[in-house]
Amino acid sequence: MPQQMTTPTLELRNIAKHFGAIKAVDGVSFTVESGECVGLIGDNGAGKSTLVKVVSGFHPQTSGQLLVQGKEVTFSSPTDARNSKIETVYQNLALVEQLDVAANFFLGRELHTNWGRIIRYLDKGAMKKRARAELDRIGISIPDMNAIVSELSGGQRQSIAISRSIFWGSQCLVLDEPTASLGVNETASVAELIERVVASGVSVLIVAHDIDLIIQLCTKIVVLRQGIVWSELNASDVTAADLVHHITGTQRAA
Amino acid sequence: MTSNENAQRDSRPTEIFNRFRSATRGINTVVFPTILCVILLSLFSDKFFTVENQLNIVRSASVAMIVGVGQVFVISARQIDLSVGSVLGLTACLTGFLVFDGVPIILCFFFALAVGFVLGLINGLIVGYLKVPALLGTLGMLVLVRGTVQELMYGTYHVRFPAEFVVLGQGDTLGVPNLVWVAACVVIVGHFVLTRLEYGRFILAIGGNAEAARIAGIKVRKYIIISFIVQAVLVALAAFLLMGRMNSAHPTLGQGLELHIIAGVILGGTSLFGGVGKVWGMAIAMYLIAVLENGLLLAGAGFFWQQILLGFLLITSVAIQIYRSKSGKIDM
Ligand SMILES: Nc1ncnc2c1ncn2[C@@H]1O[C@H](COP(=O)(O)OP(=O)(O)O)[C@@H](O)[C@H]1O
Ligand SMILES: [Mg+2]
Repeated sequence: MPQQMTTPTLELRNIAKHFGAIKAVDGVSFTVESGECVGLIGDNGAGKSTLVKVVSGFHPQTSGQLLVQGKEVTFSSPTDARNSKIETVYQNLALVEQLDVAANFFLGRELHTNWGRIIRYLDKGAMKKRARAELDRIGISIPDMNAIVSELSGGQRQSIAISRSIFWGSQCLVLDEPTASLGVNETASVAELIERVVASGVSVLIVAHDIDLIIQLCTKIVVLRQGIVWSELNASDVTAADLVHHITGTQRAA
Repeated sequence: MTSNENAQRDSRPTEIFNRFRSATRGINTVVFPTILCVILLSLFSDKFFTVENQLNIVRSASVAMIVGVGQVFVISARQIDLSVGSVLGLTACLTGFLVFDGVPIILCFFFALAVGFVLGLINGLIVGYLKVPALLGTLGMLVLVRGTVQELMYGTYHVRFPAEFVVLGQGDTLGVPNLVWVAACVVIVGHFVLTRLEYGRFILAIGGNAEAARIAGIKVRKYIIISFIVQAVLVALAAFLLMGRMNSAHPTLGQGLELHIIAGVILGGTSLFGGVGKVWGMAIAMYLIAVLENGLLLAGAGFFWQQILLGFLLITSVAIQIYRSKSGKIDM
């Protein structure tokens, strides 16, 4: 079959994840089209984080299929997901606070100098230069590249985690609560960054409690409730008040 | 902000200031009063700054420096190795048998390193595979290995090794004690490995945030096991040199060493919470401890005072680190 323009970047078919008797995710299907931003919302315990962990290769699903660019994939580790160009920014960001920005950017994928391949000599200069260039390119201001991550603000950390994923050529960026711990201004600048990422053609799946943010960023909204897709909505058709009804279960559209 | 403004912000003076700040970030504040004590000691004794006295002090610190490099790796990875003293004792006593059997010294040397390798591997497997927390796993090994060497020697000890063996630990090369040469090499290589090589970067990443390291594809367990092996092999190297230096090997050799090592590593700025390792800081701290011990000795205060000093340094340097991590952002 010839490749079509409309092959979704990511497709979930009946994905279930059970922890013993707990059906955290119980048969979820939806697609993330190329260049689309999909919002995943739902009450606490709805299964959002679990679903994110399945997509990012953290837990294998109990049943169901995962398709990337139309091809079925099975992930046995986060590295597998990353090799399929799915990058995840976790709620806790997965940054090493004691290391500097460039070290975190290249964590696990360090650059080495030519003569030092065998002893794995780090090319710190090249890593710093490339990290700086990438941050400049997507407009993130980190005045001091020698600063360790624990000296940076929450918004800067989130931006670093996001730009690290973009840098590694992700086609699908998965964000779990990217603004949960941020102030108003920082939330706005991270939202702006996500908009730029979507505009550059990357598909995004975003989990957030902030309904206004979801409406602002997404074209499609998937509401999870007790492990199933309760509603699938067009962002342009709904208001924040509607979404609250879907989340709490007093309205449904599936 | 545009990249242009960014470039301006990075002007030379700021860059130099930032570099200075990142270089001094890990210094443990206890170092400053310790340095003060050393200066006071030096004022009371006109012999203190003589080359001979300095070389003596560094020589007495060199075993601690060699073992300390390994412990910097282990603690940076958010682990700890309490078994170093026992590993030192067992390696020395086992190697002693070979030396007296007339085995060539070079083979004795590799035998000692192999003993260290095996004991380090056991530590690593206990922590990595059995999931016993390092504090308890290596405490178990401290007792187990010490029991083994006591049983093996059963009240005896090795003494008066062949002269060509003794010279390794007691001799000089170019006017500097062999022990000091070896310690200097180990410290320089250790610093290089921790700051420049991928292995060091992985150790720091694992110690700082093991989950993030795992997500980044770093094989956490493998590198933790390697760090325990490096520690024990360096202990074995120290054991080999110490046998010559003392011209004997007792089953009690190395008893209480762990306290000395850990005090020096923490005083040197390595973080007890992982993710920050300072090889140079450790070497300086070991030197300072040796000076204080030397000073106490000169002042007529004996071994028990040295123990009081070490215990005190350990507690204060850990307390300072905990205080700073609260005012900083590391949570516990
Ligand atoms: N590792 C796990 N083991 C057992 N139960 C889990 C695990 N992870 C999540 N759960 C359960 O799965 C359900 C969904 O959790 P989660 O995906 O974290 O929800 P959300 O992110 O939407 O708040 C909850 O009932 C939670 O207790
Ligand atoms: Mg969650």
